[in-house]
Amino acid sequence: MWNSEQKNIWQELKNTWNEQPQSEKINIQVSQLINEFKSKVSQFEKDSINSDIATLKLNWDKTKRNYLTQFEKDLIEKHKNTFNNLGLFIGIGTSTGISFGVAFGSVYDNIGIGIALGISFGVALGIILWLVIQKINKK
Amino acid sequence: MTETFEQILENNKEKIYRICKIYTVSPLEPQDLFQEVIFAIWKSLSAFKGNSSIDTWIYRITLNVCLRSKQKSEKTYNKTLQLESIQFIPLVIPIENNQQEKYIALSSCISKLNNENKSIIILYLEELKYKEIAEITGLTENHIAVKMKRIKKILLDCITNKI
Repeated sequence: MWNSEQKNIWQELKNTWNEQPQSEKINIQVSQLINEFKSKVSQFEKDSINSDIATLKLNWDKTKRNYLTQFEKDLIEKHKNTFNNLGLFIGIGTSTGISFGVAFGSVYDNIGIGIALGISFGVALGIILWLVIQKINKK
Repeated sequence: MTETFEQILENNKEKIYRICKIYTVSPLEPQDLFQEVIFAIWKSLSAFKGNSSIDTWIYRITLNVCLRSKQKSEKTYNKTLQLESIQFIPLVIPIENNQQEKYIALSSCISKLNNENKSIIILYLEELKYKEIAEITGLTENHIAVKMKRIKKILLDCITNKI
């Protein structure tokens, strides 16, 4: 009895809900609606892409400033030292070579060939010395 | 796809609007919410795989959009869609006072429930089975049954006081 009464009450409430008084009629122009949606979506996509670019830019700046800079700095510093050392050895080798070349050229009366040979010899000597030092450092 | 979308709108627009009316919170109007729901359905239509019935899917989208809309602030209100292709034409049909009164009492009592209970009772009033309600809300069927007992009691007490 109670169950049946409850059922009736709820059926009545369901009817009230489903047959609620309509105050307005909904008219939808579907083809026009789809066009409107498409235009909204492309705007939405543009906004979304711009937002993504802004995020990427922000993160890239952060990366450059924080993480990578430190890493890069260390790496660049290391390479800079290596190349500085190479330059130094080549410089020493070349000046030594030029000195020998001038002396050699004076003896054989051909300073030009003496200097050219001295430079080649000096550069080669510098590189060899640098390689030797690198090997010693690695050990 | 256009035809399917048109059919979906035609078959479901009334029930979507019924739900929107319950969830609308100022400054939003039910019409704004309705447009948001239709937009969401259109955007998700290509992703609908048919794993659930179209009705279940429509209810899920509608409730999700309605629940999200409650979090919208005044600031985002201006960003709501303004679609010219959806028109709401006022009807001048004589409304039975008794029916109107019952509806106002019912909707006012539903509005007082929390979001979860509100969704459950709306789906129940929409004549969905517990299994379908469970599928939409993500709760178990047993949980729905237990909750329904409580919600029914709260709602009946509220309505009895109002009518």
